[in-house]
Amino acid sequence: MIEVKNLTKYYDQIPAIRNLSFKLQKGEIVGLLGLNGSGKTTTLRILTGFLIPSEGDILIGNTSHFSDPIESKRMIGYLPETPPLYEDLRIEDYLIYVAHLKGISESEINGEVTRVLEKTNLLEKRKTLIGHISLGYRKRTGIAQALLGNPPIVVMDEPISGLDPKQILDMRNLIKGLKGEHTVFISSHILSELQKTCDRFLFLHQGELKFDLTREALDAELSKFSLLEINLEGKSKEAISSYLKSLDAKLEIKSAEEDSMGFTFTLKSSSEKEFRNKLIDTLKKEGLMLNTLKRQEVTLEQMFLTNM
Amino acid sequence: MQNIKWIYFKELKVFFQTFMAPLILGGTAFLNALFVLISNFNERATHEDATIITFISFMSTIIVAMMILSMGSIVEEKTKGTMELLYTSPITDLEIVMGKFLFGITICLIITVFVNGLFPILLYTYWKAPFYLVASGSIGVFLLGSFTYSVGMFGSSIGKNQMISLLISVVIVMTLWVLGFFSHLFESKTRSILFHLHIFSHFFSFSKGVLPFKSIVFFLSGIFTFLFLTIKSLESRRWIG
Repeated sequence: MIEVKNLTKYYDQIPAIRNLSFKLQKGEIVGLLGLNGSGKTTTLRILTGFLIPSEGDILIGNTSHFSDPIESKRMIGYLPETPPLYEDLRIEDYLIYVAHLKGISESEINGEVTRVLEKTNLLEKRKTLIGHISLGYRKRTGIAQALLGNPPIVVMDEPISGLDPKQILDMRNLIKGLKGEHTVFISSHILSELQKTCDRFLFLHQGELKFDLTREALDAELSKFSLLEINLEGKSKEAISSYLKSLDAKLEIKSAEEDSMGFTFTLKSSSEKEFRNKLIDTLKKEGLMLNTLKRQEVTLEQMFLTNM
Repeated sequence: MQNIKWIYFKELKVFFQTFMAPLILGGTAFLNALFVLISNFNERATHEDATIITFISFMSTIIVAMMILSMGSIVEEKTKGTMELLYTSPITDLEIVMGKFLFGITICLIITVFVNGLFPILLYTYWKAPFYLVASGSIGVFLLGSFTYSVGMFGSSIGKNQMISLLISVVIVMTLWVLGFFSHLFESKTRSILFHLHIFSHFFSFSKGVLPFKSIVFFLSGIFTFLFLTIKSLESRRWIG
């Protein structure tokens, strides 16, 4: 549906992105991941027509994005990191204004505005002045304007940044609800968040595409360097350490700390599944009690530091 | 071109819904009253002099009003992030600029007719101000105001914030004034070119009851030039980022 071909953008002489090429298929949710300054926002801004690339092209269907930008923009809904809102307008008036700009016909505007207000749970707040609403509602209003006109492609730049846990949950459900109907392209620097919503992951590093992974491929990649966190009690630190090593000869104990419950060990096992099974089977016999066993969340920083 | 209408209506809505309307319209009325009182309440003024002086006062107030009104016209969109909405919507830069400019000249017209208009009516009723002076002066105020708004929009399109945008437009207007003011120091050819750029000298003709074709062309071509530069400035942002 969208094909990005050799996209390069220079700011002065400095390249923000270099030779970026990828495809987005119809109906999939794709995450664009990268550390700050990796070129995520620049990529999204070019995709949405805010910026013109120094080199390269974007094909939407079979048409170049830049040969008919007005028509291409009708196909894309965009939520920038800071929602583009007019504080002095009411939510409903703002959405009507955006609907007009998107060329939605006068007879369809009321129905379309009500549809996006319902989809983003903003119906009750429709008469509220945008200057008076919280960040969560601002993001929702931003998404509502992006969904106006039912564009086949929805692009969101850091949609969860600055939201509280409840709002993150709402946002996640909202994004999941777009799957199938829209091609969704989301940028974030929080890997764990996109893992919960996306089907595919593009990793940007210093303006270049490093990985293009499906969900399964990402899980396999992450398990290579993910660490186990385990809290045990009942014996001394040394005794527990030697017991753990007896379960896996190649086991690496990264850290061991005492806390109120017992000892927390951070481990890297050569075969995580086998190690876990052995642990569960032999714990009782060893006179140990298991308080916690979990896989540590891998951050984007860890992944990049390990792979780059 | 429909989009010009929506941008225009949105600008009007925000203007009349916020403090901007009382600030601009009330502030202009207040300054007008102040200038007219100071300039006219002396025994020597004839009806004709009073009218001319009144319109010269309006020259200052329309410039101030239009500069304040235009200084945020584009830079505000950039600082609040709404430029991203405009740039990524299916509209052209020309439509953005024209929508905002039409709003500016509408406010200029409101000031010319309803705010400034009060004074000529008073002058006409009580002081028997000559109608030709009132009419030509009002046309002059409207043209000068529209010209200043287009300069302000250009300043707003290249400034980083409202204050810098205001400074840019003040510098442009002052330059046009100073060049004209000191034109007598130059040779005849240069002098005539520089004097032609003297915006206030163009306005003075209107305030004296004349509708000089040269001055009308000057203001209209000035408006066209600065609107063109504003569009080019917006276009360049897409390349520069």
